[in-house]
Amino acid sequence: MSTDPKSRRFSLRSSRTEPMQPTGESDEDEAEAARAANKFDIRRLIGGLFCLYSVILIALGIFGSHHIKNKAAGINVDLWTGLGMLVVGVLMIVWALTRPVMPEPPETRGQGSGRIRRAPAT
Amino acid sequence: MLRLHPGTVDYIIIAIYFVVVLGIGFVAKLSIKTDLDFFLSGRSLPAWITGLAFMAANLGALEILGQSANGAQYGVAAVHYYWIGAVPAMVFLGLVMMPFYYGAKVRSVPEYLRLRFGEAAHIFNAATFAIATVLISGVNLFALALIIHLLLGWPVGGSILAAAAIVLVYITLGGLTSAIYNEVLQFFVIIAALLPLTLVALHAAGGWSGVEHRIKELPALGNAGLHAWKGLSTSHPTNPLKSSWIGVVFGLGFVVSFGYWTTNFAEVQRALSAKNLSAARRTPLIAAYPKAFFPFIIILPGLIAVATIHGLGVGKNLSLQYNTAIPHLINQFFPEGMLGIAIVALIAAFMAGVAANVTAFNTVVTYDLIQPYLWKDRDPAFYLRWGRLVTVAGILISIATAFIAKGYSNMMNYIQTLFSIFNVPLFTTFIVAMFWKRATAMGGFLSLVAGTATAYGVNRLAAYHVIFHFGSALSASFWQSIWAFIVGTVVLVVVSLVTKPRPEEELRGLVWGLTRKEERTVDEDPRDRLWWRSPVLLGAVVLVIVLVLNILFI
Repeated sequence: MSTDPKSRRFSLRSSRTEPMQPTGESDEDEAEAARAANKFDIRRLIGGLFCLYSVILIALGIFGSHHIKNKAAGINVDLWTGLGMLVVGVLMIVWALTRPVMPEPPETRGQGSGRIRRAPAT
Repeated sequence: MLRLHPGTVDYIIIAIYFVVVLGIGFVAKLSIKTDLDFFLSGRSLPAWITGLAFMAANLGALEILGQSANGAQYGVAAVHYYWIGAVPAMVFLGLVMMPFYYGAKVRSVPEYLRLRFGEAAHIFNAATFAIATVLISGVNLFALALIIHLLLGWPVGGSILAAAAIVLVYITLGGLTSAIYNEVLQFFVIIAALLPLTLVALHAAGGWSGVEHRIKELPALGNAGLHAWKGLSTSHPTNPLKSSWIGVVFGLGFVVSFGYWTTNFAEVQRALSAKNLSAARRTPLIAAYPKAFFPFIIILPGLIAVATIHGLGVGKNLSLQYNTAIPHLINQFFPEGMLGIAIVALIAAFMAGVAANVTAFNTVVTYDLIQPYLWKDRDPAFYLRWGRLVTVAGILISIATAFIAKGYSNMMNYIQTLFSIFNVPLFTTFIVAMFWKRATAMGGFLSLVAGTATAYGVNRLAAYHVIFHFGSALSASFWQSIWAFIVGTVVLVVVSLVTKPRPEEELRGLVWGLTRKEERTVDEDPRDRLWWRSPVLLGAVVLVIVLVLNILFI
């Protein structure tokens, strides 16, 4: 298995089964790479977009005009699709948080900026 | 005239999508250090992402509009494009062919031909593929502009340029990673738009029994329109496809489908970007599952549309063409909000169709033409720069061909013609190359040339009604492919038998009988041995699902 952080950027190994391996880079770099990889996780992107869309749709489904609520053969299609997308969006984010692309180091080792970083909730 | 009227919220939804797409491009750029990062995402992606991208790369809006049109025109028989015409070939690619592609560490489909047959076949294939992809991406671009023009009233020329500019930005910046991320995103948005559309339309039509009842009354479809396999006899086909079972099973199911799914680099590239062999093999297999169920949200809306919209497909009215089946349903049922989601789904699908071809084009031009024949042995940064330049060139050529495509009335026929000319001869050569060690370089090259010439010749003869009469344009493309396959195979076998074979040592890893079992199934990650990650199991289960679906709709 590769130990280059970049090549593992998109893999989905969780910290439980595959502890992070030393990369030879400093802890700061590792943490930085891990955070960048996790931010760019496609599951977070899908989750974020779906949550945003679902808020818009649900709002229209609740506050929209009579026409909006009934156009789809009497079904409030904005509301129902919004709720569906919300479920998918939340599931995607939960999946991304519980099994991150790269585990971020649980604590600061050695000299760092002094900030205390916590591990992501698992 | 069919015209959608998006409201403010719809435009906000569309704008959000464009921001996300461009944002992906800018972020993906940060992870690109070498040419391999740009062209194959550094071979780092997990199987579920490459699998969904594999599925979505084919899910352009031409596919969505075209297949729902097929549903409206040919009825249930349109499912053959999925259950016979896609899934078996995807399983074959994953189980049988992927070990050669990924195992040989080739970076493109033409590169395999280079290792197997040498330079003549390689240059011919790389050049024809590059031309075909750029033409297809031009058609996608034009279709995108046309649909935007028809549905939203924006000018065609301006839409072509705007769409091309967006694709240009995100591919040039982020390469294949950008394309794949957008494909996965698009996959989910398309489901979010089409699933509610189908359910609502089905409800309004009185459920499946209501649709069945109305289809039976239609003169164009009738009872035959509700069956996939009835009326496909060779002597007197009564199915709306006007094709016999031979055309469906061998033409579509074997030659067209295997040619497209197993050798089209725009598809195979997604699998080559997977992180290891196991993930690469699972890529088309994971894609086969949504593929098996997509007829329910693509072909079914077409059926519902033809059953409920009066006059669809009858006469020459542009806004009642079969292609407008899904836009009609959107117009009829989607209020502000869902209308925005549906427009995003169509635009995203079109952009993915362009992007899939452009990413395949830049890779083949860089790795198969520039690197081996023009400038060898330069540093990665050199090829990365060329990759970006070729991307820009590819999109500019696509724009030009989009304006050419503007002159053709039937886009789907144009596309089918391109596929059967460029893809089918390739499959012939590949399948023999992988399983018959005696096939020689000269045989491979001549079979490619002969197959391409045959497909083109039969196509022209049929177009001018010189010698062949096929029931429909679809049936014609099946038969054209069957002939190309036969001629290509015969040429390959005959020429190989009279030319000198390559020593077996050189073919190790490239030909089935000469590759040891452990070489084919080498696993890099022990967790890939989990039973539910077994490619054979994944493939077998999806084949059973498809078999059951075929029986249900027999």
